[in-house]
Amino acid sequence: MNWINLALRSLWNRRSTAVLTLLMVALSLALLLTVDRVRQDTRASFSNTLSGTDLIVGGRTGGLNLLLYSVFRIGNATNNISWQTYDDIRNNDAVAWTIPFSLGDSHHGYRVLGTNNDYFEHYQYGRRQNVSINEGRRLEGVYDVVLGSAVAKALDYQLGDEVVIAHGLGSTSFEMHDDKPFTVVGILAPTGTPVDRTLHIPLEGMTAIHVDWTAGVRLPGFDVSAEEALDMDLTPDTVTAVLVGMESRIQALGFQRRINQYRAEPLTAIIPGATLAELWQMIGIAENALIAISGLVVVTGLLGMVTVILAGLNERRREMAILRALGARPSHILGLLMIESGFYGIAGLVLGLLLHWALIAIAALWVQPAYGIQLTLSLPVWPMSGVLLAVVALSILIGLAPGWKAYRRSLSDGLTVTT
Amino acid sequence: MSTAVCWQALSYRWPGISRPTVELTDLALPQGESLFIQGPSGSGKSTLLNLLAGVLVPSEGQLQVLEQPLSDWSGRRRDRFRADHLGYIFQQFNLLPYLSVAANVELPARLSKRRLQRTQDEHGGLNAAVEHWLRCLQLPETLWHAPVSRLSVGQQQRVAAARALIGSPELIIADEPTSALDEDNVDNFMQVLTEQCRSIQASLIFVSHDRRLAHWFDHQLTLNATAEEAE
Ligand SMILES: Nc1ncnc2c1ncn2[C@@H]1O[C@H](COP(=O)(O)OP(=O)(O)O)[C@@H](O)[C@H]1O
Ligand SMILES: [Mg+2]
Repeated sequence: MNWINLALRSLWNRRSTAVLTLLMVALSLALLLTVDRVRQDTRASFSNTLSGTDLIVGGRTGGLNLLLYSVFRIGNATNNISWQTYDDIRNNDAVAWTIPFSLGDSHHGYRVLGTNNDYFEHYQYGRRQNVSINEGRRLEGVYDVVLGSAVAKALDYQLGDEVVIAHGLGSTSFEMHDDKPFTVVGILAPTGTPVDRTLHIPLEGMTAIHVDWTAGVRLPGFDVSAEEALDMDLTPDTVTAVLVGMESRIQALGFQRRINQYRAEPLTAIIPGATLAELWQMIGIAENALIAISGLVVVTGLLGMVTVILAGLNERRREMAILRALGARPSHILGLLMIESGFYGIAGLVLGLLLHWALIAIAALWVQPAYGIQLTLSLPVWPMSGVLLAVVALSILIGLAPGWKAYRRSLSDGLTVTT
Repeated sequence: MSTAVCWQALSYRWPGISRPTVELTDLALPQGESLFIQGPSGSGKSTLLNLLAGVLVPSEGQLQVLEQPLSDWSGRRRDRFRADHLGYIFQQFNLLPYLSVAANVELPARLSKRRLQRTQDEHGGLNAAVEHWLRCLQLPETLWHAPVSRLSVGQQQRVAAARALIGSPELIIADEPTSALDEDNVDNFMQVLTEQCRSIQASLIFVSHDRRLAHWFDHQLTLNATAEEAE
């Protein structure tokens, strides 16, 4: 019967309070772990979304905004680029390849991207991986659509299915391009990026569904059928953004400057990595606030734990006197209480980890499809592991507070407890 | 012949209290004999027992327990001495509620190598010793592994006595152990306690305000509360 055993049995005897106290510590740690995990995974997901692209060009707008709407499908473009400008960029000697992006429509809340087959050739994510077609083929006809894996899975689409695109964004759009349905010709392999939640159609298809529209409304009495549209010139007037790969990376900076000073129309060019870094700086403030709050919650949990132990001391005077009579030293009594608070720290950490994993597993069910962020179940790594060790050490250390009180009291009480 | 306890001009004053709570002339109790200490409430009986148990150190005077100069020792050494050589019985609530009856009785042997060794020498093992003492104290076998909460007060006091006796310490100290018991239980308890103390040649120092118990003992000492009443 060592002291740890005694301390734990004593705690078991007070298990209803102990369980609540343990939960308090565990929940606070689970919160800290989860906030940190979500932060790391969000960063990883964002950094993974695009690679190999040297510049992104769009209409005059903030760099961050351009990055968000073109790559992450967050927010909307305010300005487009004319087709003429796109041609200029494409034909520049320093430019190796381009991918035109035309955005603005959606399907059941998933965004529709008008592009061409350069996309399948040059678009890269993660560690310079190309998107690959799992089933079917690339875009050929005007009314072809290639689905991201999450879209196909969530809406249960097969090759050959018809897809009607909604005008504008938002899953409850009333305006449907139902006169010109698209046919699923390909489904992409999962990438873990916003690509999975995108429907890809040809630029010509994008033009076709909008021939009888102007300024966002259908022109009355000016219906053009799907077949009639095919005979028209479907070269778009504008695109939303262009991803650019340079012949050599070092040219990117100079080319960016030239685009930003382009005379024919106001443009914005960004280097994705640099703008992402800007984003992290901004988000960093909010992240740090969240981490700080979680940290405070952990401290609050630990303080609550000591309070519970302190509050229980009165009822345990008898227990301490019995142990003293059996030869326990006052330092044993102090140790008993430190074991108790340390137990809350260690068991709280274990339970907190389990709770954290459960939270992540549940959150992943909707975060993954809705935001494309891969939440991972993993053991904490440095510096979080260091923080957790510190929390456990602290939990043992703050046992000194009730420990010292019991120590003083067992000296003055001796073997006589009147209560 | 050795002495169990021996003191000269013993006094103890609690901090913050002007007069000594314990103020005694000389006494020597031969090993194996029993002493009854009686006195009204507040007369310093428990304080005296704390001195004998080495939890408190006399303010003045000489005190030897089992011929050891406890007062000269460090607190740590006195605590060790108490674990090895003393059995202590409280008025009530003697048992740790989170341990079974048997586990409570085992405790002294778990906390003292010397007493563990003695259970080995005398009974051939800890379990045998636990059973021996629970049987001697007439606790029904069905309760040996029961939680403490299932025991009556009388049964709890007898388990406490078994715990004090295990590992055969030289000195048993009991602080009003019968005051929570009813008449019949008192006699029975006194009977087994004094008998079992004799069986291991332990000295018994027993405190009570009930002078009718005096006849169970070899010696008696009366404390009066005059010091306290004068306050
Ligand atoms: N822990 C203590 N701290 C301060 N004074 C105490 C303490 N315990 C006892 N005393 C003082 O000693 C007096 C005698 O107490 P005690 O030894 O418990 O008497 P008894 O056991 O005879 O009833 C008390 O009235 C009180 O004044
Ligand atoms: Mg008393």
